[in-house]
Parts: sequence; structure tokens; C-alpha cells
Amino acid sequence: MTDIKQKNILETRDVKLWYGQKEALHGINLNFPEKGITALIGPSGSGKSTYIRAINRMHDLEDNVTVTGSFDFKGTDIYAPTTDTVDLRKRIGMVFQQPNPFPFSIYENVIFGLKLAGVKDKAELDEAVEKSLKQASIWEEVKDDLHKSALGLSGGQQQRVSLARVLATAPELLLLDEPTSALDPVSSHNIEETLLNLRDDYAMIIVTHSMSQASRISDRTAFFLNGDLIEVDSTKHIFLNPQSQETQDYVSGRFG
Amino acid sequence: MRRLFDEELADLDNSFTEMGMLVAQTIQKSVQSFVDHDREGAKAILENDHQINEREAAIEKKTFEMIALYQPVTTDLREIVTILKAVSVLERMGDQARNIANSTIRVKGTKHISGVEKALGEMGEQVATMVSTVMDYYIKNDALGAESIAEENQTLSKRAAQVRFDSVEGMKEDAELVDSAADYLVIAGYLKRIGDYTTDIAEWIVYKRTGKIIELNPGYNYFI
Repeated sequence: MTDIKQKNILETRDVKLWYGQKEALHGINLNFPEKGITALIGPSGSGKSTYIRAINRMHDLEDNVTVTGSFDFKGTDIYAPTTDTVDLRKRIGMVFQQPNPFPFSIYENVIFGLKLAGVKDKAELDEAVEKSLKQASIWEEVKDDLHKSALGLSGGQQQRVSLARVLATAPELLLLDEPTSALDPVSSHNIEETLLNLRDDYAMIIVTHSMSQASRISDRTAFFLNGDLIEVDSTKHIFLNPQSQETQDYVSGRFG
Repeated sequence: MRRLFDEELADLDNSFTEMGMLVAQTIQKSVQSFVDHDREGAKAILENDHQINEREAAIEKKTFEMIALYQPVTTDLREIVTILKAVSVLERMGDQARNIANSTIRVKGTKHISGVEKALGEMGEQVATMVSTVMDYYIKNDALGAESIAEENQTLSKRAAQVRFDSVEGMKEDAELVDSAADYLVIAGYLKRIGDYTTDIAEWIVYKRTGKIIELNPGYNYFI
């Protein structure tokens, strides 16, 4: 389903993925517009996390995983041998289920990616820290404690610092793999608010098990089942009048 | 959780269709008492009107609870919204039956036009049947059937226009008929309104089945 109003930031064609002999994705065709949130939903084992991790080559770290198909990220072939994964993951940032701050200060956490990229200018780093913590809606809470350990923060705050760390490298696409499933409702709400604030400026793909989260924050929803993409459409359509019976059964809570 | 929801939805469906049948009966009885000049029958309708209102309130309350507790989506949501919207239409049909009963009680005319009264009785039968038919389409989730109610409503409109014509002619010919004929006009208007309401319910049945909101009432609408 192509979006005629916006150009696509990422186009994936016939994506297949094997864990050893077992085919886990059976040929996914899915495009993502330049701005806005796409939610990937589906029961456990449906392939949505496998798919999102394939987008920034997280499977490179695992043995025995084969990925085929094309991933066109604004003209970059993600799986081309010449594509540098460090540079790729700077452009395609990822936030994980468990908040994963590094065991040093909030400030050091946020500039981690910039330092890797060779940025040394103090003023530039300061500015990036403030900007990305503000974007992640946590600046007000931590601005006086920037040099304290990030591990002392609450789970929800840690997750927003993780998000700020990703935003600091100015990614073009954000991947979020169940970013709120380990958080309490208030922290989840804060993350959702943050994502909504970012959605006019970023393309985001979020894997979520929460139907209400998908319906609250996403512009488009893609439903995965057993390694297939069953349906992708505007979120409104998926939750009011989906085409496929399987989608309908899943979002209505009949299975999964 | 899902099992509980399905059970509650089935209960809600039953209450809604029962209320539809009650309304259809009430309409039929109200027209019958008018035609029979049966004031006692009309009074009974006024006394029982609260049953319809109470059912409406109970069904509304239940739909709010189900939306709040289960956050239904897709066909579940459409079914609940359909019931929520259609139940107020049923209640308004009940109000029209009450209006007919009120006309029966305060009727002043002593001279009647039997042809027109017969026609009104037939209109009452027709519209009561339309109400029970549309409830049937609801139960069967039959969107095509529901759309066909619009044609049925056209023939009802034509009957109403005929009653209007005959009543006016009668008044022109005989001033003693004015009291009765004025009532005939009003009753025909009430019945025509009920007919329009059945198409409103039909529109919600189409929505429930297809997710599309359509318009079945033609734009032109005479006084009666």
C-alpha cells in the first residue's frame, strides 16, 4: 500500500529471513513514508520484531540467520556489502524493550553516538545534549543532574534517555521495539507523548503488543501473522473496518 | 475476557431486538385504537410508554459500560454503535405511538371518513410490519434487505399523500368533518415519521455490516 502524499523513506521488497533452515519471514513487501508512525502488530512469533530488527541489520550479530529481499533506504541498499553498519545505525536508530542506559552519566549517555562519530567540540556536544533531551521530553527532569549516573533514573526516565541518545545522532528513521512494554502506565504515557511530538519530524516504526497503543499513536498499522504481512492500512481503517478477517479477529482480541 | 464480552454482546443484542418488537406492537396497537375510537386502548399505551423509555436507558447504559470496559474495535464496535444509535430511533418511534394515542383520547369529531380511517389502519399495519422487518434484518445482519426498506417507505409515503388528499377533499365538502380530518392529517404525519425512522435504523444496519454510512431517506420530504 503506497502513500501517494509522501515519498517513502524505506521500501522493502520480498523480505525473507531464515533462522537456520526455518523460514521466519515469507516475503514481506512494506513501505514507510518519510514522516509519521507505523505500528507493527501481531501475536508473538508473527515476525514483527524479526522484521524490524532486519531493518538496521541487527541479525548480523547472530549466527545462522539469512536475509534476502531488497531494503531501499533513501537509495541506500541496506544489505549491500559496502554499507557501513555503524553509519547505518546512526541513520536508523533503535530503541529496545528494556531501557539500556550505559553505566555512566546522563550526559555521557546522550553524546555516546556523537563521540563515536568523532564529534569533540564541547559547545556542539552541550547543544546536542540539551536538544535531544528536550526532544525526548526529559530535559526538565534531568537538566540539573546531567553528570549523575543514568542508572539512578527510573525505568521510564531511562527509556527516554535511551531515546535521547538515539535522537542525538539525528537519525532519519527510528525503530522502536516494544519501547513501553517494560514500563508502568505513567511512563508509557510519557513515552507515547514524546513519540507524538516527534511524529511530524521523524519516520518511526514501532512494534507493540498493545492494541490501544497502536490505535492511539500510529498513523498506519501493519498486521503480521506467522511470518506474513496480512494487511497494512491507515490505523483508522485497521481498527474500524479491516479487509482481512484475521486482522479483525486479532484486533478484536479473538486470538493472540 | 473475550468470552465475557461475547456473552454481554449477545445479551445486548437480545434486549435491543426485544425492544424493537415491543415498539412494533405498540405502534400497531396505537393505530388500531385510533381506528376503533378505543380510548381505553389508547390510555393503556400511554401507561406503558415508560417501558420503552426504560429499555432505551438500560441499553444505552450497557453500551457505555461495554465501550469503557472492553474498548471494542471493528465489527464489535460497529455493532455497539449501531445499537446505541438505533435504540434512540426506537424510542422516538415509541413517542410517535404515544402521540397517536393522545390524538385518540382527545378526538372531538363525531363524523368520520371511513375510507380514510381504513387507509390509516392499513398504514399502521404496514409501518408496524416495516419495524419488525427491519429488526429482522438487524438480526440477520442483512444490509441488502435493510436498503430495500427505503422502497417500502416510498409506498408508505404515497399512502400518506393519499390520506392527505382525501382528508382535504372531505373538509372542503363537509365542514363537520374538519375535526376528524385534522386528526387524520396529524396521524398520517406520525406514521410517515415512523416510516422514515425505519430507514434510519436500516442505515445503521448497513453501517454495522459494511462500515459505510449511507443515506436512505430521499432529500424531498413532504409535510406528510
